[in-house]
Amino acid sequence: MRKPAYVPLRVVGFAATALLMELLVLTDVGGEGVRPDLLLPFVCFAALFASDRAQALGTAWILGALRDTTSAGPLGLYALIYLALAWAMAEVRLLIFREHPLVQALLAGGSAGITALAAAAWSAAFAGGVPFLTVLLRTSIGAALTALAAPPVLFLLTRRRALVRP
Amino acid sequence: MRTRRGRFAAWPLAALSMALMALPAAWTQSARLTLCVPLRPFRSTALAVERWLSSLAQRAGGDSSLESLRLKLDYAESKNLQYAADLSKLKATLASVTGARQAVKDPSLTLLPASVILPVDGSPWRRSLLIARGTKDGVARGMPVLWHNHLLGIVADTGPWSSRVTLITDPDLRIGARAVPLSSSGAASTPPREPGILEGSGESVLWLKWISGEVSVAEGTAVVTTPDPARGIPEGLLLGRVKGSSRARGALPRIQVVPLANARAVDSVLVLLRNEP
Repeated sequence: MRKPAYVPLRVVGFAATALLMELLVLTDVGGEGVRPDLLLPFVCFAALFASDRAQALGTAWILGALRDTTSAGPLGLYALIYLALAWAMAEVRLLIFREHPLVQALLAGGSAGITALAAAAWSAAFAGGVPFLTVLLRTSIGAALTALAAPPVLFLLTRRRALVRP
Repeated sequence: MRTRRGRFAAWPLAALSMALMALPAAWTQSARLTLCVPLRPFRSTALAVERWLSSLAQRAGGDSSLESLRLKLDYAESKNLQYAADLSKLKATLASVTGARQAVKDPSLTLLPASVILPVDGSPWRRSLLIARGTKDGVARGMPVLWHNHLLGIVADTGPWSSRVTLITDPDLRIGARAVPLSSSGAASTPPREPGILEGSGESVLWLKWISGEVSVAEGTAVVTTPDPARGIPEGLLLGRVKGSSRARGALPRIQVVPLANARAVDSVLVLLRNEP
């Protein structure tokens, strides 16, 4: 039996701290309420460095449920989005250079874009429409901010593995 | 075989997510709101960190001589600032209640102060905040939430000790409103005008729709609530200021409104409780 690469509960603990920072300190860092998605770097880590697929998917799902807890939207929406992203990342992890900061930034930024667009589509369908240009602009800025935040988070989690190792 | 089993690991979780999404929000929000209650102390910590960072930025250019005296002075100043912050918080609550009381004259309505736990929503497309009052304090779904004499939003979901307030900028909220010109004293006067519907757009502007095309609305005009007995919203609560209007999509004008209160910067709010006889 393979030794787990990280303890999911520890990763979730660090991610919860990052989410608190996002919601309490970085609420308006990009202007007009745009902020980075600080859970996505942890989803990337969970998917790229897990010892098996079940660990990657389970951790990503819990991180999504964590964001759902703080949202007015339905429970399970972000859990489903993060799960799909983690599944996709786990599929391609052998094809990419996962330690490279640029790859990590691209993955996190792309994931943030997909997450924001999916959540905007849900909001438009079931809550109320958001102007399309606003969606594009805010998604782009949010994705760029997430891409900037991802490499330092992944560097910390991969280089200081003792923080999350069993 | 291992890979094949791993591939199917996503489906149970995906099915669970979809099952949770299908549940009515009222079933899940209470538990979610209760889980967020322990976050309450973090809000004041975050505000303290913001103040500390701004004071650091102010001192960035100072020289380093007389360091020990400066440290003592800093300590005294920080204590002084703490007292001043406490005093200003109390003064703000008093001013907020006084302002709200001027707009809400119905004696059967009570104002319940509530501190803000989370000033933003977890989703970037929704506009809500979390307050530290719940069903145990008498808060119920649909109650208006004010700051001074401004309507900030409506209670959307309640837990025992906390509630989620949908802000007027949320795309899911629609409120009866009318545009009224400001009197020379600065207060909004309320002559009979055509009412409309104020809709949030998920950004920092609102749209006043469905008002008669014959009504002319000048820039800077105040937008206030129309009475809504079903939701307990009194008349004349401030919502925003007119920024511009367009008729691009039909005969009826769409009026752009900027909210007057910044909900992200608010520390505490007032929930409008109705005292049942």
